[in-house]
Amino acid sequence: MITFTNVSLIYPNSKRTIIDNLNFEVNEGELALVIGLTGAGKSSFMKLINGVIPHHTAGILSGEITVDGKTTNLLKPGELSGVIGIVGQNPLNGFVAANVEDEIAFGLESNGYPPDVMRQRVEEVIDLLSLQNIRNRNLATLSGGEQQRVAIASALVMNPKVLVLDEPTSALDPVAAEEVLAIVSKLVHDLGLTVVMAEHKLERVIHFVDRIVLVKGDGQIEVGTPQEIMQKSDINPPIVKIAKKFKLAAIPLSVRDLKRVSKDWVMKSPKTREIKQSIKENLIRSEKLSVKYDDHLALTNINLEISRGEVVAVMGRNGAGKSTLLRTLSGQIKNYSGLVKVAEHDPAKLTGPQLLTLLGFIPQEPADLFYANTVLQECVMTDKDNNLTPGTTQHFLLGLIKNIDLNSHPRDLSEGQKLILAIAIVLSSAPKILFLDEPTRGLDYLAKDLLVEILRGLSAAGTTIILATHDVELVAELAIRVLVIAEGELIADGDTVSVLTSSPAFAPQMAKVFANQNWLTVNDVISAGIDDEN
Amino acid sequence: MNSLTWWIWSLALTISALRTQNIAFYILVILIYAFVVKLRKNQDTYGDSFKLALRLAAVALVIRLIFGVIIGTPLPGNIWLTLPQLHMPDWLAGIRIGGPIAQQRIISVFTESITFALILLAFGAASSLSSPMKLIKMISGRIYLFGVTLIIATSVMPQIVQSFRRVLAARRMRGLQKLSISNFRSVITPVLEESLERALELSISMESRGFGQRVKPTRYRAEKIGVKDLGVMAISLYLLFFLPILVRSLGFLASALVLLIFSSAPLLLTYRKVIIK
Repeated sequence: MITFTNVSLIYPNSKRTIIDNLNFEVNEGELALVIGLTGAGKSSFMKLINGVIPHHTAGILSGEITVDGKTTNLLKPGELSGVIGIVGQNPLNGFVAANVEDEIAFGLESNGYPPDVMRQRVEEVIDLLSLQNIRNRNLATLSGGEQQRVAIASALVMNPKVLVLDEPTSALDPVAAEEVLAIVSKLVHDLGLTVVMAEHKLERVIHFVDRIVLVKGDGQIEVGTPQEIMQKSDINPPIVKIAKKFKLAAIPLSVRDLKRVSKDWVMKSPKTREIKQSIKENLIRSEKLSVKYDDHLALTNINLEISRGEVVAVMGRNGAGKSTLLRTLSGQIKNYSGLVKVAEHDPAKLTGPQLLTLLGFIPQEPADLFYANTVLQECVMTDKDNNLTPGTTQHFLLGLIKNIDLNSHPRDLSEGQKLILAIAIVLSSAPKILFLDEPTRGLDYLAKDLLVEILRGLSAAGTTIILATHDVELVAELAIRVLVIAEGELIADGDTVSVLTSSPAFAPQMAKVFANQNWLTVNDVISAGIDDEN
Repeated sequence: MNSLTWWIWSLALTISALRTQNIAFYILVILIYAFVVKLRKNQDTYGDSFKLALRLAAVALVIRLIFGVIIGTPLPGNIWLTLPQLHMPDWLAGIRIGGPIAQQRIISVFTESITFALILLAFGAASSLSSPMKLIKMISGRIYLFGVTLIIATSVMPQIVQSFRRVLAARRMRGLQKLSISNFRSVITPVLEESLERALELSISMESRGFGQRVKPTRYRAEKIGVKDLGVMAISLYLLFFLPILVRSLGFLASALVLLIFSSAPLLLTYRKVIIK
C-alpha cells in the first residue's frame, strides 16, 4: 500500500541526513507504529507519506514514495485527500468549521461531492465513530477524546486507503486516549484500513500493532515485528523492560502475556515499596477553596494540606480542574473563594522577589516563558530580570542537561530540552515550591527519565513539587502522594501506592501484572528480587 | 435563520436609526440589540462578541465625553458650569482647555459618542447572533486564497487571545510584572510564533482534506434563504427606508412602537418553546 524506494531526505542548511536511502513497504490492512526519540525524524517520516514534505516544508527529497500506486511527490496533498487521511496531535488546531457535522463534511465539500452523497457519507462515519450524541455540538466545547474522534471522522469521510496519525493521544487523558486507540484498532481490524501511527506511550499500543518502524536518528530506519524491534531498541515499555531484565525467551507485549509467564515467579524478598516520610512542615493549606468560571464551578470545596518536600501528583480527566488547582495555588487565579495560604501568604497577592523565591510554575507550553533568540540569551535575560549574579541560570541549565546547544533558538529545541530550559529559568531563583502542568506531554522515554532524575534531586534537596499529569508511569516513579480530581472535587487523596492500585484506570503496568503486590515500577519489581530460576 | 439575514437585520436597524438623527432611536436600537442577543446568541466562540463590543463602546463613550467636555473649541449656549481655564500660547489660540461648559456642547459630544457606540454594537450584535465564520463561508468559497486567508484569520484570532493570556500568566510567574513598550516584545514573540505555527498547521489540515480542489465547492447543509429570511430582510429594508418618514408623519411614540414591533420580527419568526428542565 505504501512503498518507499531509495528515499533520502535532508533539510537545506542542515548537515544531518534525516532519512538515508530507505526502502520499505507497508502492506494493505497493516497497522504500522512509528517510534523513535524526539528529533530523530519521526514527524518528517510521517509527513513524507502524505506529501506535506516536500510540498509544504522545504526538504530535499530523492527517491520515490508511492501510496496506493500514486507518487506523492508529483501530487499535491490536496489531490491525495481521497487516498490519505491525516490526523494531527492537537485536533483543535486543524479544525476549520464550528460544529461537528460541518467539520466532517468539509473535505467532501472541498472535493465537490453532491449533497446527497455527502449526507450519506457523513451519516456513515458518525455511526462508525459513535458521534451521534455530539453531532450538533460546537467543536470547542467537546472533550479532547471527542475532538480527536471528530478529527478521525473528518479524515475517514473521504474513504482514504491509508490513515496517518501523528501522536493522536499526546494531548489526551488516559481514558480518552484508550477511547481513541480502541477506535484505531477497530478501524484496522474491522475495516482493513492501513494505518501508520506515531505514539510515544508504547504500553498503550504495542499489543495491537503489526509492525514497528524504528526511526533511529542517524538516517537509518529499522522495520520489524514488535518482538524484533523491542529486542533491539532501548525504547521499551515497562513490561518489556522486565522481560529483558529477566531474560525471557519471548518478549511479552501485553499485561496479559506477562501475567501468564510470571504467575509462578517466586519472590526472594517480598517487600513492599517503602513510603518516604515527609517532613511535617506545612507549606500549603487550603480550606473550602472554590473557583468559579462564568457559570460553572471549576473547583468545589477543596481542603488540602501539603508539607515541605512532598511530591504531589494531581490526576484526573481533562477539564476536571487539575490546572485550575495548580494555577490557584500558585497565585495565578485571583478570584477564588475560601482560603489559600502558601507559607502563610495569600499566593494571589505575592509579587516580585517574594513570589520568585516561593513559587515556580512550569506552564503546559514551556515555550510561553521564552522570548530571547538563543538559549544563552534566555539565560542572561533571566539573570538580569531576577537580579541574579550573571551566569547563574546558565550554570544551572548545564547542571541539568549536558547536550544542549546554547546558540540554538529556544523554539528549535526538542520538547524535552524546552522543558528543561523552562525548569532552569524558573529554578534559578530557587523557589520553595515547583508546579509543573503536564510536564511529560510530547516527551520521549529518555527525556522523561531525565525529568524524573531532575525532580528527584530537587525533592531530595527539599523542594516541594506539585505536578498535574496524566502519565501514570511518571506518577509511579516520582510521586509520594496522589490527589485525584473529578468535576472540580477532590475525590481521592492518599499515598501513591494506595491510590494508583485502587483504580484500574490509573494503575501502572506493573501494578496490573503483579496485582496483589504493592509494586508500581520496574525498579520496584527488580528490587524485590524475583527468583525466576524455575 | 440564515446568517446573512442576521447581518442585514442588524445593519439595517442601525442605519435606519441613524437616518432619523434622533438620539432616542439610537438608544432604542441598542436596547433591541441587547434584548435579541440575550435571547438568540450563538453558543460558539463569537457568541460573546456583543458583550465585548458593549464594553468597548462604554470605554469609548467615557473617554470621548471627558475629552469632548474639557478640550475643544468653545460653543455658545447655556453655560452649566465653568471650569478653570488653562491659558494657551498664542499659536494655539483656537484650542481651549477647561473653561465654561455649555449644555449644547455636552449634547453634541454625547450624540457623537453614542453614534459611534451604535455602529460598533451593530457589528457586535451581528457577530453574536451569527458568527462571521458562517458569513465568510457563504461568500468566500469561490476565491481560493481569499478563503484560506479568511478562515485561518478568523480561527486563529480567538487562539491569539488565549495564548496572549497564557503568556502573560507565564510572565507573571517568571517575576516580570509590568508590561511596557520596551518589554512588549517578550510577550508578543511567543504569541506570534505560536499563532504562526497554528496557522501553518491549519493550512496543512485544510489542504490535506482537499480544500481548493474544486473552484466551486458544494455545500453540505447549504444555508437556505427561506420565507422567514425574506420576511425579516423585507421588514429590515422597510425600516431602513421609511423610518425617517414614519417619524415625520406619525410622531415619535407611534414610530418607536413600529420600530419595536418590526425589529422583533426575527424573534417572533424563530419562536422557540422554552423547555423547563
